[in-house]
Amino acid sequence: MAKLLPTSLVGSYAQPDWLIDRAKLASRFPPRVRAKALWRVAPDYLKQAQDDATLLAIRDQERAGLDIITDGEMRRESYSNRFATALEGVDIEHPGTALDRSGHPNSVPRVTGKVRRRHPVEVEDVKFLHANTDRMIKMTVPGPFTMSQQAQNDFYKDEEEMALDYAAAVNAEVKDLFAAGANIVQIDEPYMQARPEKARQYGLKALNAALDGVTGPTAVHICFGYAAIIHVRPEGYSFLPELAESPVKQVSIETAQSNLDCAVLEKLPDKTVILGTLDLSDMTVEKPETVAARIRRALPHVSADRIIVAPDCGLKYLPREVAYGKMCAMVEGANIVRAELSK
Amino acid sequence: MSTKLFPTSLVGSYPQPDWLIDRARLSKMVPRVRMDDLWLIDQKELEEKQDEATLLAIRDQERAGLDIITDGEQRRESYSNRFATALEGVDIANPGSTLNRSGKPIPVPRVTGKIRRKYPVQLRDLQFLRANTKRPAKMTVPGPFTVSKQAQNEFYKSDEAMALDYAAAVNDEIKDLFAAGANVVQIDEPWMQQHPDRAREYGLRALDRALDGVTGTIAVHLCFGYAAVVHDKPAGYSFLSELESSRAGQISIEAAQPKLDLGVLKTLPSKTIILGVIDLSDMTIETPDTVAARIRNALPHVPADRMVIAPDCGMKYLPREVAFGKMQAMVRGASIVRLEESDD
Repeated sequence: MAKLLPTSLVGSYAQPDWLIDRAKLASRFPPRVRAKALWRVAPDYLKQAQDDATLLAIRDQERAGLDIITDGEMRRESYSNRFATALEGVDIEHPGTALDRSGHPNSVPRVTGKVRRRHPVEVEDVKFLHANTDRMIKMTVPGPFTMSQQAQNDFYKDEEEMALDYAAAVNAEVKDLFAAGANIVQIDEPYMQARPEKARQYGLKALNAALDGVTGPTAVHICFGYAAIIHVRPEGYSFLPELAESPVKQVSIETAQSNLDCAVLEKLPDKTVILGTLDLSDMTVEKPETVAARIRRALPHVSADRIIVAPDCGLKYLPREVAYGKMCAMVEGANIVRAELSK
Repeated sequence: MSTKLFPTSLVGSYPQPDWLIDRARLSKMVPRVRMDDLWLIDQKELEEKQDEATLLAIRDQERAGLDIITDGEQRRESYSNRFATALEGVDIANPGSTLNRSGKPIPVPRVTGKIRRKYPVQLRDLQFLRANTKRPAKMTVPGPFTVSKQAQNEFYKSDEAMALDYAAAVNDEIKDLFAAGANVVQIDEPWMQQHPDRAREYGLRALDRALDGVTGTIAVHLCFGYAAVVHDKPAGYSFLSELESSRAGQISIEAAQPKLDLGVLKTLPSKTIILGVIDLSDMTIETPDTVAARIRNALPHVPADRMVIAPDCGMKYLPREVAFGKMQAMVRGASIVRLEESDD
């Protein structure tokens, strides 16, 4: 892309209250199985309502001036469960239990057979996005390592084997998403940060398998968890430089809330960094200058032509007017630094 | 306002989502009293979901490239009943009856006292529209003559006296809408075409009363009825040239479906014509060339700088994807003729 410091969401945008019960959504752990009771529109009309919410998410991003557009994940109860519960081999009627990154038990799909993708899951979503914006589009899919951590293994001899089958399912999906018009596909692997030892053991291998034969530009997002749910931030990533070896082109990280020492980004010399510049724990809309300062903080460590400006994480849990205000601030902040760089 | 030639605009309404309102029942009859049960949403969530549908209607118009934006009338069961049923002096719990333009009896507000506007009815609607688009905004209000014909008079000594009180209520509303930032307010008077003799008798006077002291840009919409409801359209208006003497600056007419002889527009030499170029009885999306041809048909009779390009009527009953496609065709058709005119 020719323009320096393009702007993008990580993935999700604030879902409207009329579509989903936001209070309930925020008062529980992100659903790993299905949580159909969260939706506030009757089943017969839910698809059209989700489409309409997606249209509004697209228009809000366009009006704010973002360069790369997502579908805002309006159809999802969580970033991962739309894909994870659509697979063969998982029992969601009789879920199992796994510990969330906070250490609390959460209901998760119980893996009772070989994990396989039955059919494309998000292809209609990306087609809808493609048909409704003229800008570049990004689609997110949950990563194989993270899905394997959000499941109860009652079938495979070890988690690695399970993660690799999740990876095959993701791989088929990623290829279909590119074929359907995605410009970027992002793999969300927040649990790589939460479980760094396992991530090193077999997470990277699973990620690489998910990207096997993929030629389009891919991103991977890792983070410290939703600000709305995980309140404490470590000072640095426990898993990040390892991604230098992976074939992903872009790495999405949070720096705003964590006040990350951006020197660590020097360990990713070949990657484009999707730089988190919006603090999602703070409901005050940033000033453009605050965003600009956060971008400048990365510049000694990442060349400007390798930065995409983004929020720290998904905007799902923010009030929509706050989310919109933050997007506008982000675009203006990127404009400030872009102007400085062109001098 | 836009100085661009052939600016584009809806007449008023845009299709409502299926998740908001029972569209199958909606198109069966046009309510004059309230039909609360059309809404698929609980009362306590209704306004929020109507807001959301309005945002969608605004964004669709912007994306299609319209120059003047309406709120799509997403909050209305019909173009007139949101306003007409909010007034003092009408009993909607025990409605009366009148014949609709197809000759069928329908329940209508029963006028049992002096008509007064109790409070601004569509002010919040306009504020919401104003807050959510940077483009010029148009708001529609039902006209006093039409509203008086959609009522059963049990109070006034004459229909004219009733229409003049409706006009005073509309007048209050229009002033509030302009004060809140409306660029155009359109008065919908479809029943002037239906009842031309009565319209000549006192409809024009009621219209003038509704515009008393108003300084903003006013449009009046006249039509032959919704294509979804009224199927046989005459070849000409029975009431139109009379509007030349009114204070309205713009006249909205349908010209696509009835294949109107546009020579009649010469009788409105001082008016801007909101020219209907989209046939709402046909679910096929017009080609931009078809739209362009319909615009060119008017050019011998109306100078280019006195035209706004629009559908024939409200798009309320169309499938949304058809309505969106037709808006896009309309914008492209207007662009074609704009280019031709600027080459001259």
